[in-house]
Amino acid sequence: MKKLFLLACFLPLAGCVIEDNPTPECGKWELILNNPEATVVVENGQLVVDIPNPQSLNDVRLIYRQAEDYNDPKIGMGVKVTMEWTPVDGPSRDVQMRSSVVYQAQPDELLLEAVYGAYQSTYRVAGQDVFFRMEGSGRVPNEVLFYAEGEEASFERDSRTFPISPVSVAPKSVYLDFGINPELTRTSPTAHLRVVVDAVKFAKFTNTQSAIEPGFEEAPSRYGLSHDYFDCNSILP
Amino acid sequence: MKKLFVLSLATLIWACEPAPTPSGPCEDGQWATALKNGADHCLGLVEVTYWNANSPSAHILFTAGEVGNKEIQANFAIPAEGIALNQDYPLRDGTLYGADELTSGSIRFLVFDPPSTGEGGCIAGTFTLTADGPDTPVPFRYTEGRFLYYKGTTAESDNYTDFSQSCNPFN
Repeated sequence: MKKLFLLACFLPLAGCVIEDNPTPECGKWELILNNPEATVVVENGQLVVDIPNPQSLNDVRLIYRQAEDYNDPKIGMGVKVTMEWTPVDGPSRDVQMRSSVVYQAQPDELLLEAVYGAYQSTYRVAGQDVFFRMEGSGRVPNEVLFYAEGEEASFERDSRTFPISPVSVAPKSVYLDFGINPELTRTSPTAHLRVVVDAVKFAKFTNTQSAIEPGFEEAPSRYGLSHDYFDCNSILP
Repeated sequence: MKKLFVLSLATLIWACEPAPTPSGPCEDGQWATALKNGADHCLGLVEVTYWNANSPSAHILFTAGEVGNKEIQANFAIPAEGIALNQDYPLRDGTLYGADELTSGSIRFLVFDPPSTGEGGCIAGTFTLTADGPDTPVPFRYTEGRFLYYKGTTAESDNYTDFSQSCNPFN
């Protein structure tokens, strides 16, 4: 009984410890592996995606969701990326990565797509191509950028804008897809794709010379999404 | 002894209750609240302006939300005869965050004593609003909306809360 008494006295004191500055949550990305051989890791400040025998546009999909009660009519994203690939034989040009945004209520309807491909980079609004760049034809290596606000969308370091249905404040998700475009495989399939992502940042990076280089857009987050420099494992378990 | 243990456990449970949140704009003198898609929602600061009174283009501009990022900007049509209490006035147009169009709604005034030069005033009432247009993937429905817009004079500013509470019809 004496022990019970001591315990009873101690419990309220031990009560609740509330951290003033809890460690920020690192987890951001939901991971969907549509290719069972694919692996995705965060290491040395980079996101590394390895896909043996890539088969589809999204052998690997990463999803980052705004909070369900978050409302913002603007969305912008920049990805700094490097792609390496090995063909089965002969040159293969079908590898790609794609960044896109959807309304959470319509997860299969891509509002904006920026496709960074070995053959060409393609930019789409509501599924329709609006322009493309061949490799080396004005394309800035390693950048994938899009932005939308109101009734205008923009891509890359390009001053043009493209009409879009008015952007709603409805909660959105951004996707990162890694794989191949089977329509470009033809007779030269890819044996292995490796994509290294250095950073994913959220802001208006289009139509600027600064883009996602260090020093530009240093706010830690925008549109309810935190920049990811992969200095911790941001893939949700 | 057993009672003491139970008391201690109760104290522990009480200690783990979340700390009360500080007073936000919904507890101050100018606020709007509603159920947003069924969930409690504080819209923060509200402003109500009566434009073109007693004319065919008379309307009420109702805004609510953070300064620089207004969640609601809505115009309600008012007849040239003026405003009567406890009567619904229909939405004319408006947006959420300057983006999604408001498609239906109404406002009702329970108190309408607008501020004028050198004098304070109080406007309070209820509202409903919906944004459900073709470009809004998820309908936004504000139901059971309530608002209190109080504007005092400089002399009253020291007792702002007291004055605003005195004209609050929801107390």
